[in-house]
Amino acid sequence: MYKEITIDPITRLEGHGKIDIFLDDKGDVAHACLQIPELRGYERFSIGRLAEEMPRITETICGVCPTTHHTCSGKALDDLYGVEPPPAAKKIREFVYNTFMFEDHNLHFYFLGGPDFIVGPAAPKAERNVVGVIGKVGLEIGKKVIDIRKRSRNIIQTMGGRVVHPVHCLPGGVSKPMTKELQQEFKKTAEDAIEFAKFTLQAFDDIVLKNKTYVDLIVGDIYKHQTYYMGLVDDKNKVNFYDGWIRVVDPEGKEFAKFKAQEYLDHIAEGVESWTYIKFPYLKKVGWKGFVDGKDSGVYRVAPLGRLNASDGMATPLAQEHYQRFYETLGGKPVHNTLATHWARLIEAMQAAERMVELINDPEILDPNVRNMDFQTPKKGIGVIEAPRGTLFHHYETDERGRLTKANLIVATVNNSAAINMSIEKAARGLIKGGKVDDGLLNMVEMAFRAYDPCFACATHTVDGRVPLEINIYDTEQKIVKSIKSH
Amino acid sequence: MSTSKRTLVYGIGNPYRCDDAVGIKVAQEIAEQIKSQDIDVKWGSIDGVAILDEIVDYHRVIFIDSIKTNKGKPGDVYKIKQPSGKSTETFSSHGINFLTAIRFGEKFKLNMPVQIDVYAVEIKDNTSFTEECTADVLNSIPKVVQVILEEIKETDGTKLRKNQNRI
Repeated sequence: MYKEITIDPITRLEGHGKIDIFLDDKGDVAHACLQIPELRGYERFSIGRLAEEMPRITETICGVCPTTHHTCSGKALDDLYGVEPPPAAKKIREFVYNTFMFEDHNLHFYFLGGPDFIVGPAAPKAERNVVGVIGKVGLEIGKKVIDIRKRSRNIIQTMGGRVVHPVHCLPGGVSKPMTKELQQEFKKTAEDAIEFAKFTLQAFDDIVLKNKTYVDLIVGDIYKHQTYYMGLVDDKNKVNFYDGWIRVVDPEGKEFAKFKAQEYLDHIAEGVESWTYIKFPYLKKVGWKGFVDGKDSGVYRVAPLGRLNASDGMATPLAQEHYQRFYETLGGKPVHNTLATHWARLIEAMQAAERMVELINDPEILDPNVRNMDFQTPKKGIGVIEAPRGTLFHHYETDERGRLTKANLIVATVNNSAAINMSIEKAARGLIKGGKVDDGLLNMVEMAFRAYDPCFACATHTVDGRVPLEINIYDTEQKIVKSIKSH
Repeated sequence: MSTSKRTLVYGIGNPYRCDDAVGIKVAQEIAEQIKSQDIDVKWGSIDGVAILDEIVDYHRVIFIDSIKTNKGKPGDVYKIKQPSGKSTETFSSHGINFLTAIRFGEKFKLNMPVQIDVYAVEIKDNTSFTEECTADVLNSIPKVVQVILEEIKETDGTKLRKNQNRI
């Protein structure tokens, strides 16, 4: 009936990345690019479906951050049906969403990006993972990570119905109200989340910021790009993950644009290149000048570093203290150093924890009125939210029965796609000289990836969860002179 | 290690990516046919860390997933033995791999399953956007369901029932 086999973890290849590096006649890097053979088929697939299905369909785009797509889709449906969720519904959504941001940012630090610093960028690859992290920081800390993550996910599961693919966002509100019993339970988790965020920021301080080698790596030129930055802000230009204005600052930190989600097409255009399926969004009013830095290039960056740069501060007191220290330490705003994203992420985790406490203690969150069903005839709806890895747009258009005639999704990673390519090329230029290929290239490139926390493989899954990477280096006659694989 | 007697059958996949959904479809079929307080059947699109969340506190876990070995025919069924030792590499920026998650759970002495089995179905297409599997993969589903039900029956003594409404 079946065969027994032993699989190599690389067996499935969906979502793999391929980097081509082209050398000039001196053996230096002439050009480098990342190719992602990933189709964005969800947009076409959604045509003809009822819009109300979209929060449940789009959340399967990603197995790690379904809460983001689900909530953004819910917001797009509010807009589509012209309904404003009641205050309690908004607060429940924002509470669940901040819980997710807190959990996901910590997941990245301890499991994904953190190993580069905690275990060390030069450590053997087999040790640069969460098990290596725990080996460095100790079992007790590992237990704390497990505990707070479990309790955070319990909030998402309880309010969202399911933890992996929640079902609570409905047009005009949420599926269930908050009870006093749940409020009491969640208060403790929220308070503990702040303590955990403090602890993690202290660990970053002790392990990374007190290590000159690591600080030099963060502030060094190899991961630095002077770009525009984008992020959601509230009315006071403070970071907001759930709602607000989309603000863009230029490479000098000056406000360039501030607009609502419904105006995004006035500001963002998506370019295409023949060698990859991924699109390259850019600022329409600046224009696409290619993969280059500077004020004349429409390339912008999102995610934690983008959000902090695009704001005038954090929305909560403890996060604001760390925000100030961040810019004091790194030489003022904006910070262009990509690896500083790891620190920015932890500051955001603090804000998420503080917002959890604020929201769960708000008496209005207990109001049982969590749905506004005064629906208007649907036509067009646009939602925006800050995913852990950047600004996410969902744009739906429908007929009068609510069947989709158009869907456009700009997923968080896509906003950063041009910058990621630029980082790859810069890392390659820094490491390859005179035809001599440094074997540290792969890890240096991986580090650039991890800082952006990209999600190239999120439309499928792999049996081992990895995104295989292949780097091919070509000479001037297009012959491969070296090939490196991450498997 | 778990002292629970509970078994989890989990179908992994993306329901909208053609053959990628085969694990989910198998799990849904098993859920229709199985009747036991000690067996939970679930499905979803999950990554390594989320897998860990799902399996803790179960005595035994059976995963059903899709696979492309590039050696078999679509619809071939495999039972995967202990995977090879490259499991801790993490290029993925966005999830940890399955084996790292398992190692993590063991290291922290979480209430891990005593036995984890992985069944995989050779697939043809996991890039097209459709809720339907290709014919060979679809036709393999009853076979996979039978294999897993027999294994559960043999090892756990589960009583099965026939679904009267199904053709």
